[in-house]
Amino acid sequence: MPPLLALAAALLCGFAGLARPAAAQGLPQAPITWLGGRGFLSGSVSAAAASGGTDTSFNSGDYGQDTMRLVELTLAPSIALHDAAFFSADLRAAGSVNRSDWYFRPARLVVGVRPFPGRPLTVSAGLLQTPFGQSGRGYGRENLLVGLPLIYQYRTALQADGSRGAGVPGGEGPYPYPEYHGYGPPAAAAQSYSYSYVAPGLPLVDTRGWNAGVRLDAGGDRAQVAAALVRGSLSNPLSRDDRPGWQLAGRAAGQPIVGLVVGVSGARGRYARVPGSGASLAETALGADAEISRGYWLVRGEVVHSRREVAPPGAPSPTETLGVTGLDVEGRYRIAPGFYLAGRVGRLWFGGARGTALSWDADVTRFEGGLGWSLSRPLLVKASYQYNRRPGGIGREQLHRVAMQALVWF
Amino acid sequence: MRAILLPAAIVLAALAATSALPAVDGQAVPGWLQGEVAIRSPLVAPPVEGQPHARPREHRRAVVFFEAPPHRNDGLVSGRAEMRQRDATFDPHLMAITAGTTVAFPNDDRTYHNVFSLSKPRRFDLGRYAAGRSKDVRFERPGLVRVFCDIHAHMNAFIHVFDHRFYAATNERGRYRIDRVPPGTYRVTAWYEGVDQQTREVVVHAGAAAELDFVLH
Repeated sequence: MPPLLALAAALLCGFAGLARPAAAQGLPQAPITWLGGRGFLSGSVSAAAASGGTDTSFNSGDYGQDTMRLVELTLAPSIALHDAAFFSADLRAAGSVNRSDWYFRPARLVVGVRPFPGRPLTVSAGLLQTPFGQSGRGYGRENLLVGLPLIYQYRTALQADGSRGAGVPGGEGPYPYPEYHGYGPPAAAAQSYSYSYVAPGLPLVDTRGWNAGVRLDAGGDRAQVAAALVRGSLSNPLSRDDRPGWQLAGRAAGQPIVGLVVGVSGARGRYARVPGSGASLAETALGADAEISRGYWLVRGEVVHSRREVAPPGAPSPTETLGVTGLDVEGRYRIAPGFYLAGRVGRLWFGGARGTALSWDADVTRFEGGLGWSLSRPLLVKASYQYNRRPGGIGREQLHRVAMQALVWF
Repeated sequence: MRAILLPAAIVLAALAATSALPAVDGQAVPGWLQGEVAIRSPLVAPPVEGQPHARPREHRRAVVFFEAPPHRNDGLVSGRAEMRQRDATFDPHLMAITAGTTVAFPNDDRTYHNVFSLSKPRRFDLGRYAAGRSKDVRFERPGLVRVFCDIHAHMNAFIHVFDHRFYAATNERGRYRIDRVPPGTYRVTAWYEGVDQQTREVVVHAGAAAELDFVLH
């Protein structure tokens, strides 16, 4: 058993012991408090397993791990330093059950202030999450299914160093980077590929990494506004960065009627530098999302369009922009207390690349359907079937998977 | 004359004595149990979503009940009760009811709530409903029911369901009172959500108050 998995199990047992017996009924059902109520600790432990072996084609996540075969531990302590100041953190460890690819990192370390007592305005600084879209679905409890939405998980061929994966093997593409293969339409797939592995690139939106910067949140039940100035970018968040410039990101959301939430998001920043010249490569993303719910139904959807500059080898500055549009729509229906059915459809459309008829990556379609069963309030088991299709490129063209996930949270 | 007066005096004395212990349906007059539950380390409510570092609220109410009541399912009043969803909290946070009671869950907030419970005595899911609406749940089986909101993870409440009437929830000052207790010796438990429950023995005399205090750490 990997050491961190053992640590996760030990911590879970510890939480159960820490929780006061009458309230806990076996597992903690609410955040653990200390410091006379000024400190809180919440967290989760989840483990997922899926059929078909490790998948790095469609479900590759952080550090190349398979997001459907992952063990994950999160801890989120917070302390009220003062009536108007607080500290909060989000610590995360994740890895595969049978691989030594575990990592641990503080995903959030924030000090915040509420400068105007009684007014819903918070200013926080540190490692923080970029406000963009329905980004709260990154962790297991908010995620209806085992797999993650394409927008937030799928690793495109675009690498963090700004190289483009659209180069056709053999140097036929405009930017023949043999180490970074991209995908094309079926015609390109028929070509002879000399490589069988593609390093996972950047997703459209990465909510699992957190940016260093400052964030402002304001608003109440009917409307919320959030803005952040951070070092990393939406697809490549970083706490340390040698890239010039900052990313500005924001989200505005409103509730025109009870049960309907609509939001728009935008972000612009630098995600990479051009080797040699040091010129920055810009990333711009726009998003719109909506969620509607009533009774036992919940439906939500999100569309994101992202454009990122790239530079060919030797070029001192960016010469073109690669676009991609992502869509995720998901729904849930509660069929009985503790039981729900859920489904999600996702699609990524990749734009063209200069000098070739190919798109810079192959379009991806995903469907996932499944159910969730809460054995008790903090213990959730999910099972799902996932179908992926990518008509072209290296690796699998289709993938069928059956997965299960167990999740304990408090 | 003396022969008449003596028996009369005895009868009067007996009447006087029995008047101090009036019988009800052939049983001794009941007493009542009262006291205070002091909670040394009150549980603090989890942070409210959206205002995670607002001043924390303390929960100080407890429930006192008989472990082995004189009788069950007798004289139960199973009426209606109400647990409101207000400012993203359940109000009251703690409720004690008799089996058969119907509890209404009105939503006073401007946002959706989704009240549910996965507790064995009563599993239910009321779905999402908006302000001004209310849904009812009838509680038939005794036991402890934990109530949550599926949308707001910090919202939680407790409903104690009893199949007898020998229980009481403490008021804001920690005081409780259980009426119409037949004379006898009982084991009484004070329950609080944040600590181990405590059970003590008490003697209830006819027509008198028995004091029983608890200190929960």
